[in-house]
Amino acid sequence: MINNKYIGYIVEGKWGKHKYQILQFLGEGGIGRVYKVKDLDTNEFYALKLSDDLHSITKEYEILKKFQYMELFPRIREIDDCFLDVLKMYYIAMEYIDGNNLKVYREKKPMKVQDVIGLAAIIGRTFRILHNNHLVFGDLKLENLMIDKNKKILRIIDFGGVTPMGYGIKEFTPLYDRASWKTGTRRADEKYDLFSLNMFIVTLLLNRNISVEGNSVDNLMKQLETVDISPCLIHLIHMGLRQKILTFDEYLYQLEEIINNNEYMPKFYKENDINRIINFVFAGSILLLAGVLTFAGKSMLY
Amino acid sequence: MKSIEVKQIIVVTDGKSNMGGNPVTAAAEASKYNIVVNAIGIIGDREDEEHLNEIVQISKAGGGTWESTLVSNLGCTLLAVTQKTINKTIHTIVGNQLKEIIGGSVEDIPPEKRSKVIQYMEQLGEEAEIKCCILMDCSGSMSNKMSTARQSIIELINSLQARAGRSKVAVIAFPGERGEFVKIFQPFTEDIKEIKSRILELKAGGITPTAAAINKAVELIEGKDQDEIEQIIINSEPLLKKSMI
Repeated sequence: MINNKYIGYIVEGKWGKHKYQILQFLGEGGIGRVYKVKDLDTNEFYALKLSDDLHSITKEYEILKKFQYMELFPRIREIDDCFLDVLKMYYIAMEYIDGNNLKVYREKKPMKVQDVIGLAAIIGRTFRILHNNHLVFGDLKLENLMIDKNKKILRIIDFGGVTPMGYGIKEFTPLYDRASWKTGTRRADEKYDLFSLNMFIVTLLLNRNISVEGNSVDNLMKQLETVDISPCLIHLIHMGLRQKILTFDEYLYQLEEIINNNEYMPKFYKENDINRIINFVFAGSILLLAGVLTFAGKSMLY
Repeated sequence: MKSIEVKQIIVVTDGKSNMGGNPVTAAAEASKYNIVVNAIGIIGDREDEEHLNEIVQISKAGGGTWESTLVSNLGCTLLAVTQKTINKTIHTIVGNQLKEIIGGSVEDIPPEKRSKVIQYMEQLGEEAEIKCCILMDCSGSMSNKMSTARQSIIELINSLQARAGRSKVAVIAFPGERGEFVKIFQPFTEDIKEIKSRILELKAGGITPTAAAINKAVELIEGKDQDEIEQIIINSEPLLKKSMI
């Protein structure tokens, strides 16, 4: 109900003087709401992230601005202040992306292994760029990712959780937070992102809601073993969740190896398996021959 | 640059104070020592509006924020309230600095140019030293909420630990044992293992002497003399005498 409260309202930027009319509620982020709006002068559509938190809006704007060269990030138009009724608010006007977030996507149809791993690699490469800039993504979750219907690519739509390395993570979801799973601290480092990336993979592969309460990584791995995916992929995911042994870079390399070699599925008929079957059949034939000869031999005796 | 110190008391209670002085007065006194008093009201099935009213008053007098929450969400709430306090403290300090330098606030700077100030504030907040005293209601009505309440304190400690700045946490239980109003369950420590194992011993049973708890917390934070602070209890309005066991 409250989400539709501002439909039809006109919001005017204090500094840039652009006028936007609020058309539709799109979703709720960490610190604010996102609406589909129309610029009343140009009739162009935008997504407006509105918040009463100046601090968080400014931080998110800076991140978006810094990485505008990456297609994954939404194009930004402007940041400005405004009034909503008597409330002092702050907003980022950005590209309106037509499509669904991954949570909705998954509900419509469970995703294939290849697609899950492909998306994970794209997200992983993006994370690596953030890490090179001493930043950690922090708040990875299905709701923060969208499939752009027009461009047919993945888009990340919420950067409110991006945290400088070494700082404490403030925005998190227990499911993707390694501290909630007791496999690490809530301090921002690249392994924090490594854990959340693998939890992202597990959520999509198991295709069901996972609860953290009373659960464990070992338990998740047991469940994962019932899914039709290759042992080397399962092993890699386990290493990713534990965050030991592998660096983020090494993990990403191995993930891409799996993609390049098409090693998603367990191979039922591997080379040695085929040999074994041939050997089995051959041995069986020998026995059959021996049996026939013996029988024939016996018959000949009588 | 010396880091900023943020002193905070968080009162966690599921009922109205019913013994030992006026917690609102105690909160007002605490704020004179530059200690922010936040209050969290644990709500259950029956909506006890009167108790929430006291929560609001305590936080107002203590210059802090208030929240009402189910005990299952207490961990999140302790965190949110702490973060709000840090942000507000930094905002005020930097706001005053800005007033001196540019004669205005951060809002007078064009939005695209604010990021340096915001980053500075974020760094100050991250590196701030936190002295946080949690006052946990251990009256009889909290018995069935105690185990979740303990976990939520550990949740808060996990998050505070991850910060770059130092955090010291203390826990005061009210009431204490054997008829005491309060018990310093865990004095200020940075030793996480110690506090985590101590927390598991928190038990419930007894009345709700909120004011005494606040006073004890101030004493702990400031290292002050008990008598000085007890004068406040004696001089404030007496409350309902009905015991809650």
